[in-house]
Amino acid sequence: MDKLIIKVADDYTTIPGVREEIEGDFPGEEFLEKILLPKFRQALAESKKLLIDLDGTAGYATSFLEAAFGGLTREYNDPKIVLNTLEFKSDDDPFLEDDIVEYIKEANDK
Amino acid sequence: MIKYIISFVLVIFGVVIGLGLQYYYPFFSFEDKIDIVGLATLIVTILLAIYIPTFLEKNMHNKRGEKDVIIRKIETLQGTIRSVNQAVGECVQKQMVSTANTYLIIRLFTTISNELETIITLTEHCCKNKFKEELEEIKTYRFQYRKTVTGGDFQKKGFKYNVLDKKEEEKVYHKFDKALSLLIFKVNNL
Repeated sequence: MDKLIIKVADDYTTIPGVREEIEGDFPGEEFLEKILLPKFRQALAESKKLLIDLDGTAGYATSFLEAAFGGLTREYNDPKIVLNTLEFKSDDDPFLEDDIVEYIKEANDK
Repeated sequence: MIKYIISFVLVIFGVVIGLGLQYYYPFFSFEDKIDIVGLATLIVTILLAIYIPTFLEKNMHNKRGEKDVIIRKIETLQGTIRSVNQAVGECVQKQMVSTANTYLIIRLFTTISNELETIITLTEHCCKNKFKEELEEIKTYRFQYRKTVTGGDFQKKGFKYNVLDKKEEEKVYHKFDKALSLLIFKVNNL
C-alpha cells in the first residue's frame, strides 16, 4: 500500500515551536493547517496511510505535538480515524510516537 | 568436559593417597565400620560440596555483569532527569526560560527517551518480562514529566515557570526518581 509522507524537518522546519502563531515561530497549529491537514485529507481520499517522519529536528515541545495531532483529532472528532491513518517514524526519540498517540487519545477531552 | 576430568583425577588422587598412607604408614589405624553420625556427616559434607559450587555460587554470580550494566544505565537516566530538574530550577530562579534552556530541556527529554529505551531493551534481554510492571510505571512517569515540563505555554515568548509549576515538576520528578531507584533494588536482588 502506497504511503504519503511528511518529513517535518524538510517539509516544515527543523525547529518546531509552540502551539499558536502569536506565541512564536513554527507553531503546531500552523503545521496542522498548512501541512498535516491537507496531506491527511489526501490520504483519506486516496485510502492511503500518512507517514509522519519526526526525525531531524531539534525536538518537540508538548504544546506543538498537542496542537498538531490533538488538533487533527478534534478536527475529525474521532481518534480512531487519525490513529488508523497515521504512521510515525521517530528514531531520534523512541517514545515520541507513544506520546503523540496519547495526545490523540486525549484530544477530545479538552 | 575439563571439569569432569579434574574431578575424576582428584578422586583417583584421594584414593591413591589413602592407599599410600595405609601401606607406607601402618601406624595410622583405619576403622572398617562407620557409625550413623559419621555417615550423616559424610552425606552432609558431600551434599554441601555439590550444592555450594553448583547452585549457591552460580546464583550469587548469576548475571552480575548484566545487572551492573543495567544499574549503571538506570543511574545515568537518574542523572539526566536531575539535569532537567536543575534546569527548571534555574529557570524559576531567573524568572525566565531562555532559548538556550528551552532547547536544553527539549534535548534532555530526547536523551531520557533514548536512555529509557536502552534500559527496557537490556532488561528484556537479561530478565525477559520480569520488570514489565515497573517499566510501564516508569514510562508513565516519563510521559507525565515531559508533559509537566514542556506542556502549557512552554516555548511561548515570555514564558516562565511559576512556583506552582515548579512544585508540580518536583512532585513528578521525585516519583520518577523513586521508581528508578526501586528498579535498581529489584534488578540487584534478581
